Amino acid sequence: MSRIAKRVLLCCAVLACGAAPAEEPAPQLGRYLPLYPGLYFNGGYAQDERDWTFDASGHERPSAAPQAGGRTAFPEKSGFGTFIWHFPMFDSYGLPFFSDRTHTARMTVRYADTSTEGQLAEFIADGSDDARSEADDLKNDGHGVGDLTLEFGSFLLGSRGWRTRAQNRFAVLLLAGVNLPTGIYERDAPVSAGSNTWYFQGRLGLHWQPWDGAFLETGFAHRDYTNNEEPAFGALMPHKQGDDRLFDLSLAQRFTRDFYASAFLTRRQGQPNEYRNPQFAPNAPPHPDANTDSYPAPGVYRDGGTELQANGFALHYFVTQRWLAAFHYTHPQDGRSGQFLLPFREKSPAGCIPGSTGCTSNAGETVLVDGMGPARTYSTDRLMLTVTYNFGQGDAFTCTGCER
Amino acid sequence: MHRLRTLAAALGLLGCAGTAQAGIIFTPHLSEYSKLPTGQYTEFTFVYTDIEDVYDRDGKRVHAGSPFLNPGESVQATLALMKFLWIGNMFRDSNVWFLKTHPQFCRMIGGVGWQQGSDAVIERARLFGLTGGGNGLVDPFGLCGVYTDEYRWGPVRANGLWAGTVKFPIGRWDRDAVVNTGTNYWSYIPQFAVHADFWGRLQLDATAAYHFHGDNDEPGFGGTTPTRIADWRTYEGNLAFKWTEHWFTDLGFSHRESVGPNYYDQVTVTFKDPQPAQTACDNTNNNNGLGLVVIDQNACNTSNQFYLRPQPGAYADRGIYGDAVTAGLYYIYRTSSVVNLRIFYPVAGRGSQFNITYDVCAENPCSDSNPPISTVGTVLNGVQEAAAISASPFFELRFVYLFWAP
Repeated sequence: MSRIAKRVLLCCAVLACGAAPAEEPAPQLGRYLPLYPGLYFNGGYAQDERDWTFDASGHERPSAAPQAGGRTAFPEKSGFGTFIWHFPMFDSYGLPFFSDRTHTARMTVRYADTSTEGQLAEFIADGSDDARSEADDLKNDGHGVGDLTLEFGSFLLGSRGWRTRAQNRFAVLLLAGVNLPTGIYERDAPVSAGSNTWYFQGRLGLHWQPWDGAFLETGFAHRDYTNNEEPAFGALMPHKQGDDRLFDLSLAQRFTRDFYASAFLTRRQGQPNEYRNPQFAPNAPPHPDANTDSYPAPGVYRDGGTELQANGFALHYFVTQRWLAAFHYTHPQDGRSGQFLLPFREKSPAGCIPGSTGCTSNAGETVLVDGMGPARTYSTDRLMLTVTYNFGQGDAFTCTGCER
Repeated sequence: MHRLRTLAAALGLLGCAGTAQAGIIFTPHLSEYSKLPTGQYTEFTFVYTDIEDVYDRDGKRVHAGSPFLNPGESVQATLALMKFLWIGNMFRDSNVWFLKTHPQFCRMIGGVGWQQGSDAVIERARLFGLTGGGNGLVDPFGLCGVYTDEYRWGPVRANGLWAGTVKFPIGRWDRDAVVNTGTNYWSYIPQFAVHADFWGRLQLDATAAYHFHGDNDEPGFGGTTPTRIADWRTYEGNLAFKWTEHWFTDLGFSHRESVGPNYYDQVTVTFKDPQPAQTACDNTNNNNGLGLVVIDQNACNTSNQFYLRPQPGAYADRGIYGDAVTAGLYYIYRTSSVVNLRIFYPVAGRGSQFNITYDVCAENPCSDSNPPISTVGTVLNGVQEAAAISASPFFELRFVYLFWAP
């Protein structure tokens, strides 16, 4: 196989994403390397038991929702497909910056099968939790298509010699992306395939080949989330997810003609998440007596932010010139989930509406509750298989669309 | 009696439009119906809208959810569509009359969508135990057709096409959601279209179609999407001007109207919880937008609770229609890509509303052992694509790409 063909396939294994936006994918080989114009496809499958988490103090806990008591898991099987285009733009116009380098556009589609098991699933199935809150009408099925992510970027360095296929040992890629929250989002379930949240992301990636057959790559990204107008599971999912800062570093080495191995490190730091007017809590304080019940005090609450540092390795094999298969193993090293203190109020008689005639309300207990969705940081290992296909190079058409 | 009328009035729903997928998808663009070179074309379309206004049944532009939601509340929607178009002649080497000499085309349109109500929309939906948004797959459309001959009269060159489209109701359909990306009913759409080119500068594309709609046996949002959807007639036209080899602009007009009314056979929407008198007052006296006091203010402090239940029956609206103009800008890059920006601006319309009667029961839900103490009438809004007509603009970003050579 030619080295050029390998380079092409190496590069098209891009920033493949898992279904849940909070979980960063394993960094892909050659992700910041410019390649010859063409269309590529990268698809993958990932599996994660998601039955252990880091709590707000960074301690590992044997449950996905430890404050709910017992054990809970949010197992997930997910697939994704990324269409990747590398192309020149306005190359005959002589425009500054644009015309003499290549650019890339990427579109990622996803599917995820996820649900709730264990203690929290029992809470969901119990229709008698509280007849007046949303807790009596919860759901446990968030599977389906995931969010759609669009990215566009330009190679600041390293792509000027694309016409002569010149190989550059150093490249810099600037990428901008947007997440369209088109994924299935079950508003009464703790986990879903989609996020119902837009985000905008900027990423700077560096690529360097320090010696033959080696790829050293690192990237920095900042991600800004918009409000989730309908946070799920009784608003225990953040209304405003905190900004994320992302870092990745990987070193890959070729060992045989068709085989590469790599090691990587990723880090995500999330700013505090904001929760607005939670409707219930699985660990709500018990009712003081038969004539009194409790409800969360309306208000805006914040957790302490989230964090995840993971490392892992990957094996990459060129099946043919057009096909590349890879296996990735990711192990979370440290992390923090979002948890926050939620004060309750007691009202009597039980079932009355606060503020209505004859309904009295007083301060009650305060409990620590788990933030859901992107506030969870799982400490379970993640396995991912990817394949990459090179559709072809160059501009497919020479005259279609010309004046007839 | 005033108190009971108050409760029924408080049921006034949101009147949120769906994204009118069919309207958006079929509105012609530059050279939409021209005989393109044989090959495979791929198109990505992104549509965004923020629906703040809708048309009521009198054709008046009102804000969504009026009078129970304040102006400014809205439903945002985004559609991401992918269209695959194949053009060729699969009968070229056969003896099939007409088809062997006329190219055919087939098209698949699929995608995903996001639709989300704002805060007050969600709060209102939650009163009924329902939700304020819907995400996921849209209904896919499949169509095939055949081109007519091409005709030339001096500087004019024209062709026509016949096509048939099927909408498959497999998109996301959440019966609890005020908006959905799927529709849950079949559509069959025969269509005739023409394309004409004048002096190589002006291009006209126009179409007429009839939409046969199947029934929706599982209506959404408490039965306020119609169960028997009226058929539609659509007429659309587009005139484009070529400024240079790369730049085009266009103007278009779109009309869609129902043939007869929509019917609502399974209306179940009502308050999730019993309504105390104070809530009834809050929902009407203080926020009804009508300037009317429909309940004695002194009665608001009573501890009475009320339950409402829609009387079963078939309810009908007056039918719907929508007119819109479009304007777009095109850039053709290299020879294989088209980038298009477009606005779809509604100019007239009529949305779905219907009168309905509710039973009112005191202290406990209505049942054989707790019969209604009275009945009251109110007006409900039909929601989603088949019923509501948006009066807010749509914005469209479109990218057409030719993947593979013939």
